Amino acid sequence: MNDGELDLLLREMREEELPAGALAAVRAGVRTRIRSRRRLWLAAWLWVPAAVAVAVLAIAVFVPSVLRPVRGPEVARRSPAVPKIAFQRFPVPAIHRKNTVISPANHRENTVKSPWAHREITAKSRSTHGVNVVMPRSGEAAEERTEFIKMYTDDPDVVILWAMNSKGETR
Amino acid sequence: MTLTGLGADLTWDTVSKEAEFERLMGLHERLVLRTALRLLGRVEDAQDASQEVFLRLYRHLGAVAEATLEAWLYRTTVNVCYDLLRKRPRLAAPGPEPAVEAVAGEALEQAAKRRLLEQGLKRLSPQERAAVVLCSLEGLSTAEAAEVMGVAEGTVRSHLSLARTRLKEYVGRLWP
Repeated sequence: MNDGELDLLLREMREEELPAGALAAVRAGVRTRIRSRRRLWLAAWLWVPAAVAVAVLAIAVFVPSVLRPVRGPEVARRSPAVPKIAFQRFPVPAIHRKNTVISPANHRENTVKSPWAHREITAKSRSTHGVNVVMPRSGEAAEERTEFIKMYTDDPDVVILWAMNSKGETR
Repeated sequence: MTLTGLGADLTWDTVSKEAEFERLMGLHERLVLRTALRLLGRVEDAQDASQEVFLRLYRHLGAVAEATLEAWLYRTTVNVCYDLLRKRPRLAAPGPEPAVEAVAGEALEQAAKRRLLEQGLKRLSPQERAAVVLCSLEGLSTAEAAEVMGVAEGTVRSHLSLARTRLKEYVGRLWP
């Protein structure tokens, strides 16, 4: 086959008619697709504002609750608890009485008369030095005791000592 | 003011757009369908491609000047056909070679040769086929075809020359 024959064939092809109905089918197809596209747009124009309205409503309902300040835990809002007072009982200091011996069995006093028994021991006596000691006066019971309460505070440097004797006198 | 057209309510602007589109489609539908048919080889595929081309025209109706519309339609048709050839590999497959028998009469002989030529076109690469369709069948110059195909003019000439050689060889080999 030479170029002339090929050109002749190509010219004949150029003049060939399109299949019948093919153009009409194209037009119908294009119109259908444009119509469906327009319906889609119409639906979008209807649905998008509705969706936006729902979203705005949802934001208006839920966002204030989200933005509300967070309440702290109950414990945090209470005032700090009062520290417990530690009670500590100290042993009663020995009462130095020259002429008195306390028997542990019956707590009865056995007085040993000394040559100086006529002397009465007073609070000013030298043997009664000590802050927490209450000396028995003449005629008082020998079992007089002093209770000490040691109170610890939050400040470790501050300790309260509370002394109370059996008569209810406190210091 | 609303009117009814294309099965939906339309405004006056839409109506004028529809009318303009219908006019342009009526003017150029043969060009688009013919080009697509020669590039793809099957009427159904050519119809799909033509619909896509006109939908694109509808979308870009205001953006395409009527003076350049023909070139735009050729370019869009070629691009849509390339896309279809990529998406549908069976379109690119040439198929078996036809069995040709000698026929009596010059007209029948020419018709049989045309069928062979159509088969030969399907065996070309998409670029070679586009060059033959645009230059030899649609009558565009190589410069216009180059613009449509988006390649250099020399490339179009090269594609065209190679395609013609292959077509001559194919038809000459099969024609008894």
